[in-house]
Amino acid sequence: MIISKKDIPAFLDGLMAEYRVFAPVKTGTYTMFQQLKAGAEAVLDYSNTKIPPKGILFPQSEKLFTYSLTGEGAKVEEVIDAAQSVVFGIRPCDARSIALLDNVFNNDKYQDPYYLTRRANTVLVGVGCNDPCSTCFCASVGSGPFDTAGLDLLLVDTGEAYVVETVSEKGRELAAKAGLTAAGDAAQAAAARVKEEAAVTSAVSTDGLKAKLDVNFYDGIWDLIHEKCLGCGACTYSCPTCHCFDIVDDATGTDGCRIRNWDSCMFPLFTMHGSGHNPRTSGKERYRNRVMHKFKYFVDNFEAVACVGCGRCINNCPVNLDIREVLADIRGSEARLDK
Amino acid sequence: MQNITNLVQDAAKKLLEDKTVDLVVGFSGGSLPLRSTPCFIRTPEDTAKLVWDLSCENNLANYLRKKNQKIGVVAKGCDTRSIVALIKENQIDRDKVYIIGVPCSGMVDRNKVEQLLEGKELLEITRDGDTLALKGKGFSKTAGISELLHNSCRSCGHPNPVLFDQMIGEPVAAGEVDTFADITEMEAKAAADRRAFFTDQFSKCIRCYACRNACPMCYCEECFVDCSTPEWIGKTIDPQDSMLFQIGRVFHLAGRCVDCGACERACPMGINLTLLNRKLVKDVKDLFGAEAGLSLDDKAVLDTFAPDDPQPFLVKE
Amino acid sequence: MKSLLEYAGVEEGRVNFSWVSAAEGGRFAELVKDVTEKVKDLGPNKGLIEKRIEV
Repeated sequence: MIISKKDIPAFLDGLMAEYRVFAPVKTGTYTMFQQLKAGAEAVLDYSNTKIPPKGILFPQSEKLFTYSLTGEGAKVEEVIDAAQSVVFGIRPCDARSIALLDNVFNNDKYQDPYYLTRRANTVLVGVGCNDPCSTCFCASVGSGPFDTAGLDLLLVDTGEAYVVETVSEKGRELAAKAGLTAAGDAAQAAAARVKEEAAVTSAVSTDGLKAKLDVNFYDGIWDLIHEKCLGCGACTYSCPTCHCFDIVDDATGTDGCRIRNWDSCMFPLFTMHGSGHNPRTSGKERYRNRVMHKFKYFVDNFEAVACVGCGRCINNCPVNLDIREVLADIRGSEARLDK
Repeated sequence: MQNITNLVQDAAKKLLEDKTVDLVVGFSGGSLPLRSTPCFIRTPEDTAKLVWDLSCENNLANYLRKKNQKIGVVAKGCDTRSIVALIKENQIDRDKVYIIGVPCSGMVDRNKVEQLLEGKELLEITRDGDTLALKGKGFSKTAGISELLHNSCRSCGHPNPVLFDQMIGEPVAAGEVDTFADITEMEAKAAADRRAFFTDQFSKCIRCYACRNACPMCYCEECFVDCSTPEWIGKTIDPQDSMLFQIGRVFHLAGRCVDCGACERACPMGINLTLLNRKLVKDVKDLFGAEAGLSLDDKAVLDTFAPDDPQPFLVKE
Repeated sequence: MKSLLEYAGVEEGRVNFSWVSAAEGGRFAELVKDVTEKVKDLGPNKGLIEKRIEV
């Protein structure tokens, strides 16, 4: 199927009659995913948003339930967001990260109703990357500029229009509802050419990385790797696959609510136990955990690297701590088992 | 700038060869254009990695606290003021730090570059005297360096190191006295307008605490915002919670903040933090005539009580 | 503190400071009465800045 770029605002306006539509919007210097008030707000010419759209399915601050004490006892009301949504313009790396998050929020041990309800009610319409940035290394971690993992529809930019590829049943239904026309052979050929020509310039080899991480927990290399890290959460909160959270209560008098907020393993009290013991008291231990979680533990648990190569951590880190260099250092190091 | 790089490398090399220090903290080239990154040099050979240019914006005093080794640090004006402030608070032992002071003409603000390039990716940057040529895929722009400097650099009154063991290069012309024009402008607005402005700024905050962590003066083992038993400050991204965190942090910095701007530079969301911080820097200057970090002999201004201290905050009875 | 809070947008008159000794009972009572009236006239506190997300 095909849709002309100048028809996009009308297409999005049409969707807004039935769905909450999120798309990249220019906000000051940066582009961010926001709920659209009008189709014309969506920008189509952008590399990627400052922070990923995972907050649409997994908000940074989210009410889980409210409670109030009345004469009859306690009343507890769950807050589940079941609105129908469309995320338009999500990049393949960010869509793949949603597929990775599905492992965390939907497995045989636990199914998170808040995330899963939103997930089931959201259609992800992706736009492939004709021109990946110099910090994009998606191709090195199992993704790519036209990867379809996690997507329902994939749009390929052929200049004046987008060729639309169906990836899932949900996507097929949305396209049918929107009444998109079929794409001609010329358009299909243009899309194929665009895909071939898109080049990911940044490559990170992961050969032998997992093997090194399996044995280098006590290696002295971590003292050097983390040294300039400030221990802030900029990388965590920019990352499409990070998913750790903290739960707090917020109450006044007899009314309150329980809230889930994102948390970061880079923060000093992240692993503070109720007993008062903290197994990760130093920045080194915390940074080591970050790398291990993404490139070893997640692989052990779900057979996938929890990094999609979007490059946001590289751009947003205040001290330019580059994960690509970290991985190269680890691979190149002689792992030793001594403490 | 090329020349300064070589001088810095030579100075660091000598320090390590003579074993005057065990470690030199400086900057090396970053992995992206217009970025440099803090680096930790332990051997004379590695000093070849050191650079000095318009992207050396981090405050390296952050890495000097409570260290047992003798450390050399490459420090610009604002960094040395942080070092002075930290020495006064017993976080740095003066005898354990060797300061390679570098007079600074300002560092480039990446947010201003990003605005100039309208979000397009910067791939190459070259300096030609007072201008920068910024190149990307299919475009090239030039801009005067002075337009692209951080606001904190443009209003900097102390570009030369205030404390140093060795000075690299020539002192730059002393900056103009900071008039805090940005703060005066904000003060002149109606309270409702300021409220609206800060609500807008803090709705961008993602609570990453890069501001706090980049600040050399923020070193509490348990920060008030991390504590959850009890939860003093809400941890949500409601702008009111974020603002309350920032107000608390600014208040904890009163009389200690040296106005280096590291917080604003670290913020990934481009929030105008200095418009809040500098209000107290200005108040301390107006009320007590004091600026933090200028001299080891100054008393810490809010630690010192004089019977005639101004008290404009009292209720009028 | 007062300067910072008012700069941030809290209405003038809501934040009040005074030195009161335990021996100044009468003065303390007057002060509390005056401040209470002043703050009541300002109306309910809208918070430091606008609360956006209803949590």
